[in-house]
Amino acid sequence: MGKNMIVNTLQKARLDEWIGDYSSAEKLLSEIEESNTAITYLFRKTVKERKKKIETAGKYQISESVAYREAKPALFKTENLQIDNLPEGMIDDNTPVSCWKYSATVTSKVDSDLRVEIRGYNPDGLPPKLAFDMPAQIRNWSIIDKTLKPNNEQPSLVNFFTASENPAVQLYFSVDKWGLLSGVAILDENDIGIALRHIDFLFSKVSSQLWPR
Amino acid sequence: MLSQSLNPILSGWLNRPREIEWCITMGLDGKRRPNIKGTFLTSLAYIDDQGDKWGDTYVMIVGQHYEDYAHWNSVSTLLPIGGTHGTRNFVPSPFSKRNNKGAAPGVTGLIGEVLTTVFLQNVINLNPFDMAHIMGDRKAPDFCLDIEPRLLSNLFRTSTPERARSENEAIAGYLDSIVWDQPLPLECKSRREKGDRQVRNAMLQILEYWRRVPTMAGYGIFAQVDVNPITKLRIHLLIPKTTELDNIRRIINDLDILPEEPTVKEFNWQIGGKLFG
Repeated sequence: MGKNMIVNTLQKARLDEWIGDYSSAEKLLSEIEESNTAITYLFRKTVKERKKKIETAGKYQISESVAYREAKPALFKTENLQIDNLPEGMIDDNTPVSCWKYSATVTSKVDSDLRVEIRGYNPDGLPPKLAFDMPAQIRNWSIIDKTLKPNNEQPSLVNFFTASENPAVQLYFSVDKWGLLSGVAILDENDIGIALRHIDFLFSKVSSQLWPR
Repeated sequence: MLSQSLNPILSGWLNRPREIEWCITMGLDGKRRPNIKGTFLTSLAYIDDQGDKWGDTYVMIVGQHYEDYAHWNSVSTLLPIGGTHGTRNFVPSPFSKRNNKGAAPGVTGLIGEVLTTVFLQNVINLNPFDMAHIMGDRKAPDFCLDIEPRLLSNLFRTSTPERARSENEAIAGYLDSIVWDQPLPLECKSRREKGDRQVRNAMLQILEYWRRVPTMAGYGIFAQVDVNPITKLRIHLLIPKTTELDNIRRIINDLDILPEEPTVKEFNWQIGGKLFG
């Protein structure tokens, strides 16, 4: 395993762990472990610790807490989103989010409102083009605010504050100069399926601007 | 994150550009004058964002922690504003000094790791997968970098010199002539303790890497991140002199010459003279 492969694999494993794709992270760490070069010997303890942590995190992921019995953490991947479940009118215009691998996880619940955390990264590792013009409206999404500070010429972080009326979703997300996605959505638990599909639709539009072909 | 978006005053403050100083010194000696220096721009909002992604410690809104820590006990920025006779409810500020509390080591450590990551992004121009952030391990460095030596030689040619240009050009020329076949280790420390414990810990982590990965013996980076009274990344670049590569490999594996866990003084005595600087 060459130096670029080692660094690439370790970093990808870290980001997979960060977004909650524990099985992929574990697979990547096992690849490093099996390559058995001098540098992997050094990381053996780190890999072991990381795998132990991943196992623990995986257990938390599937266990139900007493306080939030109704809010099971819902980890999903974009490939699991069924295009035929999209609302009428969005089907023709929908392009899958191919640049981000991302997850959405319910982290807490108050009444019927869920707080959903979103995390993602681009497995290709291509830095995004953060400076672009964003329309004020994308389908049923209102783009309430978009900031490109601190430096408009070379922004490091772009923040989006968006809202959808039907279903009612408030979504804040940011993208950093390495294309890492981080966000929070507040949505009604009864709408979670359709709300996630609307979010995926918005992400497909935003990511096509961030990584134009 | 939501609070920042909903509060324009806070958002404006957090997104205001902040200038962070950095310098690169050859070798481990903290008293040696740096070779080059520079600054990069970031914001508290960006540090907040990156704090969730990097480091081993979970700290919410680490950029705002950083601002607080950067002004810890700073008389110049935390001027106590006293109450006046006419306003009984306007009390003297209690924030002139925080003698009764200490900084949390995990928070300080994360601030250092995040600022180092931002340095790698903004100054070295690394891409996402050019850097691997390693889980905390006493025998592993914090970061492994997939970096070409010429990225560093460019810095020595284009940044503000603090030493003779001929010296920087010699280092740049040497960096242009070499190839690294394994990742470059980087250890980051951001706590200042009495004595040289942090420097020693960083040195031992890099030394362990050299013993395991002999082709990289002599090469590494130690980033000492100071937050207070001013924020500065002091980057120590370890590069062996051309003629000393084999000697370094021999010495680090000979316990009769260099103990398994040497002091900084022992390291400098046996290895220091064999490195640039």
